[in-house]
Formats: sequence, structure tokens, C-alpha cells
Amino acid sequence: MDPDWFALKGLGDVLGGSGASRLQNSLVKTAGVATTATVGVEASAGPNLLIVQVLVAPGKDPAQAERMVYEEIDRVARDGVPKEEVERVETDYLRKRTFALVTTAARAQVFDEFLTIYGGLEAVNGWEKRVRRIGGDDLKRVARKYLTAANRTVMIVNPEGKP
Amino acid sequence: MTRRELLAMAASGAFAAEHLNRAPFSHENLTVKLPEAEPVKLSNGVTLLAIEDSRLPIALVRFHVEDAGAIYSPRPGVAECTAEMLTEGGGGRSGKQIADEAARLGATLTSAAPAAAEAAAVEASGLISHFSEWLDLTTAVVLDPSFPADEFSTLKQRWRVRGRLRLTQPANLTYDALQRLIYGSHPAAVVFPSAESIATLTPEMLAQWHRERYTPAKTTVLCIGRVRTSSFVSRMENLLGGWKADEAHPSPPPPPQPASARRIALIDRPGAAQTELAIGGLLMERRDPDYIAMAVLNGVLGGTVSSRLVRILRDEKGYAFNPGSTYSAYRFPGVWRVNAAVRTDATADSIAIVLEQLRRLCDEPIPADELDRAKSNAVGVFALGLKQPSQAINQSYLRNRYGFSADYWERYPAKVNSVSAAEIQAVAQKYLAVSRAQIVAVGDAARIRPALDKLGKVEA
Repeated sequence: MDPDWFALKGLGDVLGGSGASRLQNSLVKTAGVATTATVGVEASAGPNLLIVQVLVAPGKDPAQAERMVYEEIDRVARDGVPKEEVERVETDYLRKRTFALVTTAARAQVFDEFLTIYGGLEAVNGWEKRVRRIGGDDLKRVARKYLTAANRTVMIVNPEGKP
Repeated sequence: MTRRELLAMAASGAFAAEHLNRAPFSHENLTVKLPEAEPVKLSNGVTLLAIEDSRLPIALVRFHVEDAGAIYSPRPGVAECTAEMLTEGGGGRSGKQIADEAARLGATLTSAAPAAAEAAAVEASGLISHFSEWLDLTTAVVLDPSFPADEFSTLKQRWRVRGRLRLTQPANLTYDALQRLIYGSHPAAVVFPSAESIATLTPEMLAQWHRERYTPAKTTVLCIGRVRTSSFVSRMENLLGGWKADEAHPSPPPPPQPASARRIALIDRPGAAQTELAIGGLLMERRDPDYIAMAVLNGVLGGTVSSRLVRILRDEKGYAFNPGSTYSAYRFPGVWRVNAAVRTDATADSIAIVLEQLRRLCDEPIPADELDRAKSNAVGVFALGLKQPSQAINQSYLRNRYGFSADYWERYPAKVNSVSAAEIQAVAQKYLAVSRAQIVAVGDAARIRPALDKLGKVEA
């Protein structure tokens, strides 16, 4: 697993990991151009995708929604992320991880995930430290490094099936 | 026995012949000792149920508000929207502030009053490091929602999109249609209020519904996690003790009536490669003694991977990947339902197979080994579920809600194991009669209608 993965995961959560995320606030709550706006980061041993998914509201312009996504990405790349927002994302990540340890089956899945991705179980105990080590500048750095126009594929699907 | 001996035994064929496809299981009753959640009543009528579970530094709190669910809704959507709007503004905070605060505290906050629900539910879960703060936040949104007009307008828009999206899924079409056939004029027939219904609602309607139905005596608060019961009770006394409201005493809707005959609904999806089938009927209420036999019956019919429908429709015929059956029961009668997405050219045969399996359950006692497997599965699933805190506290809630005995869940495995083949057959005859099974098919009408016509009058 590339060390940047943790920062990218944090970046994904800042942008669209919960109801308090930036895309949710700007596209859904404030501008009303979308009904949902989420971000997921794949977690595999190979190259991973960061996927932004926006469901454009009826009658709204997909181009506007797309532009607003880029604005939020650019804002992170330009200004970084304040400490309290990073802490919020880290806490949320910690919550999800802890809840994933509740049942025996879920624990087995976590161990399986660590064996597959990290090649060993030692990382299970070191994982929280790695998450806590992320700072706002890390998110800024990976936003600049990976979320570039050249590195981006955009797909627009509309109900009529016309491009 | 050594590994070498085992291999030798397997090689001789004796091992394989004796044990292949025969998982060992015990006929002894599983002994379950659930943690106690003794109900605590506050002076204003709020009921508290708490279980200490110190395995992880987490907790879950859920408010159940009886009679505030969708089946009591004065018009479609009021109960659903009221519940959903609770987290969109309240306790002096905007929806954004509630979301931000929950995230900061390491908690999630959701609220809903889904279809066929009798109660509205608000659930929060999170890390115990900020437990008291997110408990305060949760209580604030339950007691003091503001129903902001702008947020409600956004919710209406989301509802419209959600409605359109869900109707693109054939499984939702069959579900909606089957509920209508089974429940008729009962409010549980409405799975998802239409966008047109929602458009007529105002924030004032939601506020009025909240005033009338979100009351202390109708509220049960559950808590499970690394939280001392005494401190939870004390905190809730502080937060809820002053909550006063006029208690409404609504009558439940008249109970749904069992169908006297089969109805068949066909929804056309021209060119569809698959037919989405749903076949079902009305069941019993949750307190009905037949419920336990139904749990075992469902395991035989389609509720497990070794059930009859899975074995035939998937393993033997290859018609469907994920066929199955489910059942439900509430303070009003629930439903049984068979679902299968089958190849279009196998629609007629698939329906015939389902109906034949229903007939067999009615006409023939279940063989002993098959019955044992179904019971073992029902008990095993129950026991495994108790590892999940939300399920463990839910058992306490159900026991309290339905007035079950204090040892109801401890005795549950024994009750399951005592169900006889004759009892299951009687339950099948009572509820699963082929002549009264409601049938819904979503698929290419030009290709599947002839098969449906043979079963009776088709409503398209």
C-alpha cells in the first residue's frame, strides 16, 4: 500500500465521506444542484481509484455540478484543510474501523483485508497511528499530485442515454 | 486421529461416503443467556432499555416512537418526512451544524419511519469518547426539531429523485405491486409515497405531526455499549425528565384481510432479459404462536442456501442466481414473500416450481433431516445475530414491545427445536395456500403473458 493512500482516503472523506463533507455542503445543501455527492477511495493492493459520484438534481445543469466538484478539489489543492476538519475525518474513520470489529466475521474480514493489502497483520495495530499522522498539508499535497485534470476520467450518464 | 489416518480414510472412500454433504449438528438446545435490559420508566412515561457491552469503545442509542410510523400517517409521506427531517434542523442548530457536530463527535445520526413501520426511529452510534455530547445532540433533534422550509424543499427534491431511481429497479416494482395486492386498503400497501403526495406537504404539517405523536409515553430509548446503565439512566432523566406532551391514543388501522383468491399482476418491461417474480401472501401478527413455525418453514422454502427454492431454481435449473423467501410480522399481520429474478424463457417453469413447492409444504410433512437442518439454521442465525450489539438490544426492545416473557429469547432455541413437521404443515395450509398466493411479474409481457394467463386473470 502506497503511503499516500492514507492521505487520499482522508481527502476523499473531506470531500464526500459523510453528510458533513464539502461536496455535500456545497452541491447538495447550499446550491441544490445535486441530490447526492459522495467520494470513495478503493483499497486494494494494486492501483486504486478515487471516485467522485454526483447525482444531479432534476432540471439542474450537470456542467455546473461538475464545475463545483473541481472548485472544491482546487480549494483543497490551494488552501489545504484546517486541522479541525482533518481531525473530524480521522475520528470518523476511527469510528468506522471500530464498528467494523464488532462481530467475529467482521474481524476476520479486517484481518483478511490487512493480509491482502499490507501483506501482514502487524499493520492492524499500527493503522490508527498512520491515520493520525495525516495533516492538512498532506491532503493538499495529494490533491495536487493525483487529482489533476490530466489524471481524471469523467463519465456523464443521463436517463436518455445521450452523451 | 492423525492427518495421515484421515487422508487414508478419505482415500478409501469410507469418509466421503459417510460425511459428504452432511454437516454435523447437535440436537441439543443451544443455551443462550442474554444480558438483561430491565425496563426503566421515567415519571413522564419514557421507557429506557440499556445493556452494558464493554467489548469495544462504542455505543448505540435508538429512540423508538410508537404510533409515529408510516402506517399511522394522516396522509402519505407525513410520518416519513417528519422522521427524516429531524436531523435537518433542531435544538437551535441547522442541518449542516447537526451533521458537522455529529462528525466531530465521531457519531452518526439517522432518522426514519419506513414503509409499514409502526414506529419512527432515530438512531445514533459512535465512539464513547464523546458519548454524552452526541447523546445530547440526538435528544435535541428528537425533542426540538425546527423543520426548516429550505431543508424540506431540498428533501422533496431528493424524494422525487429517489422515487424515480427506485422505479428503475424491477425488484422495487414487484415489491410495491405485491404489497398493494396483499395489503389492499391497509396503509402498509404504500411502500414509497409518491413525489406528488410529498409535494403537497408543508413544514407545518410535519410540526403538527411531531407535536401530536412524538410524546414521552410512546418513546422507548435503547442503549447498548461501553456505557454504565446507571449513568445512562441518570443522563436520560436529565435530558428527558422535563419532556411533557399531550398523549394521543390513536387506533391502529383496521387489520388487513387475507385474500380470498389469487390475483396476478403483470408489469411490462419490453425486451427485459429477466422476469422479476414475487409471490406472497398475508401472515400472522408477531405475537401469534404460528410465528415460530413460520421461521422454520421459511428456512425450508427459500430462506437458506440449502432451501428448496435455492436448490431447484439456482443449483438444479440455473434459472435464477439469488432466489429466496422472507417473512415478516408486526403488531398487525406481516407477509411471506418469494422473490426470484429468472431468465425470461424460464418464467413459466419458475412460477410452476414455486407453486409446486408451496403445494408440497401444504400437502406433505417435511422430512426429518430437512426439518433438522432448517431448525439448526434458524437457531444458528439467531445466536450469531446476538454478537451484533444492535441486534442484542433489539431483542430486548421486541420483548418489551410485544410483552414477551422475561425468558422469551432464552427459550427461543428450544421453541424452534420443538416445532414439528405437522405444525409447519398446518401453518403452510393456513397461510401459504397456492390458490390464494398473490403473484407479480415484471418482465417482457409479450413473452411471459401466455404463462401467466394460464394461472388466472392477469391485471396488467
